[in-house]
Amino acid sequence: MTSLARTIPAQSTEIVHLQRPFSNFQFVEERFEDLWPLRRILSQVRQLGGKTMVLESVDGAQDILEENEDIRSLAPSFKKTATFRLSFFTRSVGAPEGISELAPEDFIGFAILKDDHVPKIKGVSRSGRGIARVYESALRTSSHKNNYVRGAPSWQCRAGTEQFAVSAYLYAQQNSVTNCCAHVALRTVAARFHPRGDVSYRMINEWVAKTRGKKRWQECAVHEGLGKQEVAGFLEQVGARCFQGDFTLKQRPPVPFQKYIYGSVESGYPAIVAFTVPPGRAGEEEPVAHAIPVFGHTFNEDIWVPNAASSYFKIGTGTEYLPSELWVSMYVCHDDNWGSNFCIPRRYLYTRRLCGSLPEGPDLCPETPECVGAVIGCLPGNVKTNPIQAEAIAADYLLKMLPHIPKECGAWAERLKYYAEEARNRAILRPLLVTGEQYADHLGKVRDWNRSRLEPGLTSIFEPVAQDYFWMVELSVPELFSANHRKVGEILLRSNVDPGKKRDFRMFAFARLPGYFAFLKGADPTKPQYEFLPTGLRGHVELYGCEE
Amino acid sequence: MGKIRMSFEDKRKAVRQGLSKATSAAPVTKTIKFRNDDVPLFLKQLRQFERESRKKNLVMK
Repeated sequence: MTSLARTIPAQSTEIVHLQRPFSNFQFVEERFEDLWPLRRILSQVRQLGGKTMVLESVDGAQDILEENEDIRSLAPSFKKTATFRLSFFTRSVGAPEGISELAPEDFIGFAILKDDHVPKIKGVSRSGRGIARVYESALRTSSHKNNYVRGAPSWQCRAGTEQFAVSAYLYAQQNSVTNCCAHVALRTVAARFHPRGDVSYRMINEWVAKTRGKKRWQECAVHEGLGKQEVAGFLEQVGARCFQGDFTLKQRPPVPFQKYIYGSVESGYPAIVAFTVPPGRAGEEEPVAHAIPVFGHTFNEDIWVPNAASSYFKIGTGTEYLPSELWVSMYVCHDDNWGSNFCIPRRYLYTRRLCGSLPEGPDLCPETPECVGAVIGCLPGNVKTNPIQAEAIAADYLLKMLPHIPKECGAWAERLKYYAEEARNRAILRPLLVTGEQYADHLGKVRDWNRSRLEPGLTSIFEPVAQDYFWMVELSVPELFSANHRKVGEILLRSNVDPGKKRDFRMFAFARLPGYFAFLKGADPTKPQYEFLPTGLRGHVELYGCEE
Repeated sequence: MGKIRMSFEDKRKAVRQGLSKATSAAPVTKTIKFRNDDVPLFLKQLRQFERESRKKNLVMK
């Protein structure tokens, strides 16, 4: 699709000054009635220092015409529609001619607003209604230094005669006629994987019709929702590999649901969280869910949680450690009902407890119906190991290997051993998906506490594995990790090997521990041999993404 | 960096040799025994949970 509402020339252009005494409330009330997500967008623009809004009328773009055509296929008398483009800048301009003086760094983002009057549709809406909504929006994320949003796609946008770009996860609202919350969450996530960088609702609906064995998507009542497997199936169709946890199963899950979110977003891939609502609220007998995309997190350096005994992640009596996810305090998400770039406290969300005291046997607690029902984590399609598996496998190698690190390897190897041993279980593990090239680049940038780098030329040695994807599981200890954002080493695992049911030594690529690189020498599962190659780097260095 | 067509084992050997040449000190070889099966058992449970999760549907609306 070449003609988009965010890029076509406008029919009219108006400059709106956002500085005081301009009122966001008055603007929304006068122009867009009670469009709640627009209030949220304007609040973010205010927080990001917005001074100018370019308000344009942009009817006739192909993406908008396609949606109108789809609505019309359900409601032939649908005619009345209008589309507006709002672009936001941190610098003041007096007139449309001044837009050409704005610099790329002045651009905060954009919102496309669509105002439709949809007539009565049998089986969809009982009476004709006006639908003003945010068709799509992309704004820079919060400027708070502890917000981490990785992998955001770049969106080209036009304001006046000029082109601008913003990196953000796309926000969109459902129209409840040709799409629902699952569609808009899918669009946010699919844009990270689709080769063209975006998907249309028609594309989603046509795929759903095909999987349901229908000739036309109009026979599918898509406004009534999409199934979890349809959502995951579509994402896999556009290039993702999904790993999912369903927390409505009547069994104790082996991991908390947060690990499905964190494992995706920390590596720069979004996840979808589905919240169940009580049966009956949405007119259904079975539980249904509201879907939101999650794509970032905040990091709280002072959080108490990792000190609580219950926080250790215990895989078995001999395998315990602290996952880096414990330092997350919020997850960053969109909610199509309310707006973009919200923070949800990590511990505000919970899953239904498995209740063992019910007379008819174990079941999900009937007192807590509004919970996290499922999480769909996403990774690139060629990745076969998920981050939960990678973290556990890295813990396996680390805890077995640590007692055997050659002596005289420095104080930080001794400290890592001290924190990791069974009495303490305080080694910190952080799994990230990287290419060999990204790893080499990272090694080239990091410096130890004396500001010394690795030997020059060492990073070029990783050229043979430059195109391979690895799970890099970073190793650290408390305080060093939280206060300094630093680590003492990392274990690299092959990501394109299915971990299988037994310990598979082929997964271990290599490791960097204080003072040594470690390689597997013999793959005899009964007698694995490791070779430790000395390096000059014995101290701690910056975490990936936190290089000085 | 250009794409190199080699098996992963060969790539790993190339990286190991490169690192070995870059350092003058001798490598140290150790045999490491994996005495418990915590992780393989955990992976089995996780695989079963994810397989069941894929079977269960939930309508998102």
